[in-house]
Amino acid sequence: MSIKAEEISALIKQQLQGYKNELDVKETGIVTYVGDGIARAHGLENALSGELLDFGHGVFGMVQNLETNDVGIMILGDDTNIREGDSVKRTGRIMEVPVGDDLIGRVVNSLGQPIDGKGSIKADGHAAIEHKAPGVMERQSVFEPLQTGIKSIDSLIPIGRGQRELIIGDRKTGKTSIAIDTILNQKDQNMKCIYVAIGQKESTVRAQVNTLEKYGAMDYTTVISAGPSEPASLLYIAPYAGATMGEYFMHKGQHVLIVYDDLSKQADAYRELSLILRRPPGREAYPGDIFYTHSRLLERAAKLSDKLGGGSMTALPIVETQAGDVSAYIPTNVISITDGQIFLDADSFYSGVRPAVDAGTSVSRVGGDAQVKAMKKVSGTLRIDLASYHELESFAQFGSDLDEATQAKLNRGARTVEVLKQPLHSPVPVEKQVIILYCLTHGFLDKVAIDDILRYQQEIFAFFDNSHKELLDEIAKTGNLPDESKLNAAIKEFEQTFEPSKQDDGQKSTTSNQDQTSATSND
Amino acid sequence: MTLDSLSAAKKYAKAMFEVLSDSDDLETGYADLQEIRKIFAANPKLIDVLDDMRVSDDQKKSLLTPITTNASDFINNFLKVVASYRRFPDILTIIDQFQNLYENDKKIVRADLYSATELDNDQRDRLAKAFEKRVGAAKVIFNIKVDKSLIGGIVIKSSDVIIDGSVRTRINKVKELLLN
Repeated sequence: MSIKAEEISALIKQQLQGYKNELDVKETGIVTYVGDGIARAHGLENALSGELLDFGHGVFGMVQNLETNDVGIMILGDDTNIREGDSVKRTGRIMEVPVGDDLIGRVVNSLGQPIDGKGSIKADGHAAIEHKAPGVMERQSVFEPLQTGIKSIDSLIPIGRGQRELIIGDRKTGKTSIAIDTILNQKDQNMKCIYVAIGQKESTVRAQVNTLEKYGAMDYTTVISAGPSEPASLLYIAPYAGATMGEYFMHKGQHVLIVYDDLSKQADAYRELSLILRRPPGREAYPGDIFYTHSRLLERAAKLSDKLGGGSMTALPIVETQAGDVSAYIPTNVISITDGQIFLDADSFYSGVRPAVDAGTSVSRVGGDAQVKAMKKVSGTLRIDLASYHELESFAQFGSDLDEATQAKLNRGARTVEVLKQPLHSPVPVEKQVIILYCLTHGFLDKVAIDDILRYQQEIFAFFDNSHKELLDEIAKTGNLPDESKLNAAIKEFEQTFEPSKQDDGQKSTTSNQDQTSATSND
Repeated sequence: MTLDSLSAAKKYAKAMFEVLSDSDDLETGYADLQEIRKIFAANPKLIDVLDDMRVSDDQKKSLLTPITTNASDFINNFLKVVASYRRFPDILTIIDQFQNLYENDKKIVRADLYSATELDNDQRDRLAKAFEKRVGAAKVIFNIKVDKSLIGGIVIKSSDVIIDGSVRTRINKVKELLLN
């Protein structure tokens, strides 16, 4: 006999341990309307705003409107099995998602359920998706750098850990690429990353996950995806769910980077819900509390005080503009909430300047304190160089004779633009960024032809890796610029080995064309 | 914007309740309204006719005379107000809302009681006492139904709250525990 009654009964007893013989008291309401992802229910007089309601068959809803005779509920999931006249139960809980180390490396939906087919997630616990942001005494100012690995950002618009930096631009200007490259550069930085895809095509999310896997970034990244075919309610709660998962690590003293891609779609989802719930529309038909929707989300990114473990959560929200119009409602709102923005310009993107960061309109309000000293030293004049270059550029087109000073400015500007170009998925460590920018600001690049700059950069990186590793290490470790005489000597040593390419016009144009095509295909 | 019928009915009910409490006529008014409710509930056509624009006011009046001749001033006034604001379709809701207010005031609680077997009088009394104590009511009116599918035990439904002590629910709970 292989069946042992004792063992089986012990097993059943263990499973039934949680059973308590008590009265089942529940408060219910009657569904009077269902459709478009929302429901209304009579009764439920004690329901709280934001409370989770149980429709049965595993479908839940969240209380949104409390009115005199009924409550408005947004349905978190499929509404096809809910009928008028069904009863809906109060749960007394508010919406929660699983949090914990097990979520790292996974792709989940807004409810924290896995959608990557890798089996169930053993969560360390559950936490409410709406959380109060840390208060004044729980924070400290941002001082540690978050290296994006992108030269134009780390030099001009430095980001600190705990900062909120908006990435804004038209469609197809490389917003997501900047965020993904930043995640790639967090490898071995003791950083947890969370990528929240809101309303992104499932195929796009798949491609991003593939990229992250290919570069080994999924080892420290969680992807939350609320696709366009999901109900608007799931798109709306996705960023809050992501923030909750990030806060878990932040409160444990770790560093978190969270990307919201993108908040304009979340605003659209919330607008849809609000209009169907019959809340009065405001500007651009967004509801009155759309500002609060974003401000309470982004306020949760913080640098915690040392008392609380000194953890941080850096937020990179993304907002899409229409035809470069930053004065639309959502862009102005989010710009005013965040600590600065990275503005991506469609024109420069198509003219081959990638990443298409517009240095003039991009700012970082707090990141300056977090920039490493060496970078601060070499990037000090970059912004002015670029500004005066763009100013003079239009003059230069007339081709008239220019005096030497102007010529020098133009040369420096053109080289600055060239140095700041960077291909997709190739983050540069900060010490190498410092080297190439040092060459630029100290005039070493002025003699190099513009088309040679990319090659110059690659070769000087290899040269320093091989022959002057100690200088790179010094920058990486101390954050200070090494003794200038040593640095100058090393660069001069490299220059002797560097061979400028032949000034053959035909060859030149083909190489630059190849650059262009490779950049386009990468995108 | 027109009020939906429920919100309107609540206002009518509240006004009537206040008038009756001021004039200390709550009990008689309540009894009269219950009678009126019976008349309208038994003759749904009457509401349709009274709400019809094509029927002249005189005809409507003559239809209502059997009710109005012996009724109190309060009922007459009530019907006049309902007629002039064309709220006849909502009259049943208004009276129901009034009943709610009345019962709230008197601490009377209505509840549906489902049980698996027929309850004897002693059981009913004990249940009523226990439920009165639990909800802090002065009087409980049970609407008792027998539901064999409960297997055993009882379920009490009162406004939003369901108190479920049935064997069926317990078995379902055990089932969930074993399945998860």
